[in-house]
Amino acid sequence: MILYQLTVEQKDLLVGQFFALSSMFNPVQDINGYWFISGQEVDQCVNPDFQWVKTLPGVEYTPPPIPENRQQKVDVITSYMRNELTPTLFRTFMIDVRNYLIDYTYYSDSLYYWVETTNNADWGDYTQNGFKTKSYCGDLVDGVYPRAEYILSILNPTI
Amino acid sequence: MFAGFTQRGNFSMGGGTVSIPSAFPTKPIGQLGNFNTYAINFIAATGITASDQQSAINQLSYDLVNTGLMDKMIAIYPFVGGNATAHSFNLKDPRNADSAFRLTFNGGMTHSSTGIQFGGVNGYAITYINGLGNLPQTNMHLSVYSRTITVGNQYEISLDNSVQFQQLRLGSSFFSGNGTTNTGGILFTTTVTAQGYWIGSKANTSTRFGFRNGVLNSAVTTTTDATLSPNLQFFIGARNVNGTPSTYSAKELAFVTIGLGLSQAECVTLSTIVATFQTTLGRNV
Repeated sequence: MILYQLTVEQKDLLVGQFFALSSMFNPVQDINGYWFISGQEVDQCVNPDFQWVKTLPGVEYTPPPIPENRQQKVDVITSYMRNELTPTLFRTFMIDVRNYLIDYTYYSDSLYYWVETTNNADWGDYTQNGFKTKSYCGDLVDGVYPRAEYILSILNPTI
Repeated sequence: MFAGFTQRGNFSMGGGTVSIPSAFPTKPIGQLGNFNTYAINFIAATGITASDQQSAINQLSYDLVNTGLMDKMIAIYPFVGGNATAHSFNLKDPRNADSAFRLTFNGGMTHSSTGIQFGGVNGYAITYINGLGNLPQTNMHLSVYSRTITVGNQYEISLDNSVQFQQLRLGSSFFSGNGTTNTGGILFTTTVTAQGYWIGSKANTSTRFGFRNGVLNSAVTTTTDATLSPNLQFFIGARNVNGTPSTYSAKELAFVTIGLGLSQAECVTLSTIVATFQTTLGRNV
C-alpha cells in the first residue's frame, strides 16, 4: 500500500490542521517509525496552506505490528482458529464425554466461548482444567488468555 | 421551499372560520409544510439540494418520530449529501458544534453518495459523544449500516479504556461492559459478511442482543453488567483506546446511530426504517 511520507517537521505542521472542510490530517507511523498520511488526505487537500502535501513522495507503507502482548497472542490464536477450523470441525473437537458443546469467537482483546448444553451443568470440571466459568448453562463463559492457550493446546499442540 | 414540495401555513382553518382562524396549529408541531422539523434543520445545515435525498431524510425523520425512536437517539448520522461536511451532521441535532455531536473526520476516507468509505489506514471520525457523560449507564445501543462484505479485524464504533468497552464490531461482537470481568458482551453468530444493518443493544443491565437486518442474531440475558462506561468519546471507523485511534475500519458505512437501549421490537422497527431509507437512496445492500 502506497502512502505519502512526511518528515517529523512536516508531521508537526499537519497535526490538528484541516485538509478540507470537516476533515483533519491524521499522520500515522509505519513499522520503522516514519510518518505518513494517506492518499485520500493528499488527493482531497484543498487547504491552500498545505498544498505542498501533493508533492510528497509515495512510499510503500507497512503498518507497525501489534505490540508483543496478550492481544498479539490472542490474535494469533484467533487467526489460527478462524483460518484453519470450520465451526463444525471445531465443535467436533470440543464436544466432550458429557456432550458439552463449545463454540468460539472473539472480540476486543480476548477469546470468548459460548458453552451450550442440554444439561444444567456444573462447570467445576472446567475450572479444574484451567477454565474460569459461570455456574449456569448457556451463558457466555469469560474468555481469558490461559483458556485460549488451553484450547489451542488441544487443537494443535505444535503452536 | 424544498424541491417538489409546497409550503403550507401551520395556522389554517381547522376549528375556525375564514375571518377568525383557529388560535391553535392545525398540523402537529414538528410538521411544518410537508417536512418534519428535524429534516428541515438537517437539510438546511447540510446544504442538501437533491430532492430524492431531501425526501429520504424527511421520511426517515418522520418514521423515527412517529415510532418514538427519535427519543431513543443521541446521534443519527445518515451520511447523505456525498461530502464530508454533509456527512458530519447529526440529524437529531444538526448544529455545527461539538456539543451537537457533529462529527470531525480525521485521516483518509472517501465521501460519496453511497456513504463513507473508510480507508483502513488512518481514517476515523470523532463523535464527541462521551460514554460516561452522554449515555445512561444502564442502557445504550450502537448501530451501523455497512455496504462492505469483508469482516476484518476492524472496529466500527468504539470507546475503550483497556478495561471497559463500548463497541460494535460488524460480524464479530457488540460489547458494552467490562472486558476483564467479562460482563456485558455478546458475540454475533459467526457470519462471513459484515454487509447489512447491525444493531447492538443493551436494553438494561442484564439484557443485551444483536440484530442484523432486522433479525435477532444473538442475545445474552443472564449476565449482569453494571459497569460504568469509560470517560471517552466514541470514535466511528476505529478503535478508541484511551483517546488514541487504532484498528481502523475499511468498510463503507451508510448510516450510524448511537443512543439509548432498544428493545427487540424497536430493533426490528428501526431496521425496517433504515432499510426503507437506504432503498429510497438506491444504496441498499
